Amino acid sequence: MTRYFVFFLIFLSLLTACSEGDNYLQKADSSSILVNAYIGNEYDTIKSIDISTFDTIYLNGSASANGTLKLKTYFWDNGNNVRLNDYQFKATYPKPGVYSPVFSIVDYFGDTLRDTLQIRVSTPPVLDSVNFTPKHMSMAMPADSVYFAWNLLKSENENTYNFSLICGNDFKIDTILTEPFYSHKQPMPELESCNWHVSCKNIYGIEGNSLTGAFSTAGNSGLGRINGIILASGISTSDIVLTLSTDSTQDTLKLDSFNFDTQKLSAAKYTLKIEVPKYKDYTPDSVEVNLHEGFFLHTALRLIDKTAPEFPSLASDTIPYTQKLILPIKNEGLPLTLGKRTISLDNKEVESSIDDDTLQILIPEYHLPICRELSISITDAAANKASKKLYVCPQSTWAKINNDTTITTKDSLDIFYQELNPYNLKVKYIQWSTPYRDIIAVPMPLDEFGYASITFPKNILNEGLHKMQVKTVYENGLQVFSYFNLEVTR
Amino acid sequence: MACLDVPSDYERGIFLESANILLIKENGDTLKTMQVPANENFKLFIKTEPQELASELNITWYVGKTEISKKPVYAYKAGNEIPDSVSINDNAGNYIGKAIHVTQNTPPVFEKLISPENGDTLKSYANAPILFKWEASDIDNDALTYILEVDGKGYATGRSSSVYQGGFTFGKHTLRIIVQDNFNNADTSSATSFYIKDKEEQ
Repeated sequence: MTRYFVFFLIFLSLLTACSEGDNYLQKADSSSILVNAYIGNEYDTIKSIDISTFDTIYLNGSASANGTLKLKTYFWDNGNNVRLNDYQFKATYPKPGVYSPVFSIVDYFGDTLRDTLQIRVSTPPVLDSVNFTPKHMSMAMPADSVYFAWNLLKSENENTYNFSLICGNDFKIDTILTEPFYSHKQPMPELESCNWHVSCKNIYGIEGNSLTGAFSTAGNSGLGRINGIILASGISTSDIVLTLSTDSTQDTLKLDSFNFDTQKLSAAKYTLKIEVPKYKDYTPDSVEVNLHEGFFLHTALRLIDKTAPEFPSLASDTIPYTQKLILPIKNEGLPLTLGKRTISLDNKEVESSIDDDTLQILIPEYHLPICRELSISITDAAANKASKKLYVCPQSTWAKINNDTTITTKDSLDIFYQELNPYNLKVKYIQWSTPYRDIIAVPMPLDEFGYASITFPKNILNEGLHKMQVKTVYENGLQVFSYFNLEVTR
Repeated sequence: MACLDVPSDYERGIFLESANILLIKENGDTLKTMQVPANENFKLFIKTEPQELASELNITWYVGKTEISKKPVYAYKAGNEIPDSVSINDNAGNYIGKAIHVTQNTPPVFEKLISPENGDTLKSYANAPILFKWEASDIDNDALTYILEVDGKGYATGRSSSVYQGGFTFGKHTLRIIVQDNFNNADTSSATSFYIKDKEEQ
């Protein structure tokens, strides 16, 4: 029995010694471990936060030590009795309340260290953003009796409301309210368009939805007012003429912008009309307004160019080959330079330019006795598109001109041109020129055989090889070019 | 086994488990909400679980720390104090304390519709505002709020019982006014109708 008792004392002393040793180590290491729980990203040290039941937040835990950190485990209690074995997790709290998530670590010696956060969750207030007073787009509200009030569809706490009101350019109110209504003590401006806005948040700063309303105030002077907007693109207000007329009067309103305002007017039936004299492709628009006393009406007028550019009428889709084809395009909208064009010869894009309403196409020279397809597509600045297909055929059948020739500077030159277009197009005039300058234009009628001839005066050209161009301009606008070489020697 | 001190039989008793305070109005209605009109007499009594314990309980009604009654049922008469707490003890020494919050409030009353009256035909332009005006009262002088209900849609009007509201179409409309006090008591006017006719029509 004594022997057993001695063994027991030895075992007990050993146990005590071990235990004290562990305590020593635990205290030393535990005190050097830093446990940190925080909300948001790693650079934040947020320990508490107010969020709404719809918010998602990230909770982070970390542990660090001066020396080597050995952990048995780490875990989060999300404050809602859910345990998570992560350093970071995404949390939502769909029920209002105060939650205390705890991040815990258990170190190598079994010590538990914790850090706790506080999250206050509340429901954001919900305003009725549809039905409120004054009703959206109310008109002729008495300027001295406008009362603002709105419904709370859902609210668990007291709220504050940020109320703002703007009437015209000069009347502005921005205030914080504790109750869901507002009454302005002084009369508001008469015959003005007003916009108001309410946003709300609960006592924890959780923001709810907002509402926006608009109305206009009445005037007490027996007058009304019309304002509006002109919907147009590409054109300048200086090109637009806006008229306001009754059966017996007509006034032109000055436009500084696409918004217009008649200011105060007598109550009557008015017609507002806009047109663009400079660009007739824009269809005029008009609206009739029955302006009652005290009303401030808003309207809109629209200018649209729906007319596509037009090509000249040609007797045939087949035209003679010419290096430079010039086609006049009928367009009464914005300049075609603001639009787009695609021109291709047998599906290969060719060089072209457009100046005012004239299209110039440079057709690459070719010598095969075949016709080629010239596709022309022009889109004006208002996106109206016009397309045409022409067939370019060798021009030899359209005209006969001088052969290449050589003269001296002292010579005069008789040249001739026989116009042979197969479509009976009428010639307006013929012009001879070099690529650098016009020499002479002949607005003469051709003779009965289609001949035109002219004598070049002496010394009109310097020495050298000149590429002579003969331009035939037809009555329908089509232009055909023919060429021959003229060498001038001393 | 002889060393274990385990009772051979468990003595089962009846102990106070829970208590709820109920309010009985003069007309006999029992309310769970502690709200009665001002100056109306009422009684407070305790409903306990288990119920058979009721006759054995010691009940004390307090205002602050002052005892005002030890009767099982507290009968309030106008002018008396209303207890703000009660303690309930059973014979076994179990104790439940309860706070009491009795609100003396009379619901608001919708008095009369001034404009538009039932059946009125109003000549107006489209979207023109219409004056809605009514009267309501509250014997407790509570601040009242109102909802103007037109065609089933409620428009808050705050504390104003006279508002212009516009944007209604021509034709027949139904109207109700809901009056509310701060205690969520409400009164509603009976539904009426009014007509809006185009002022320009002959």
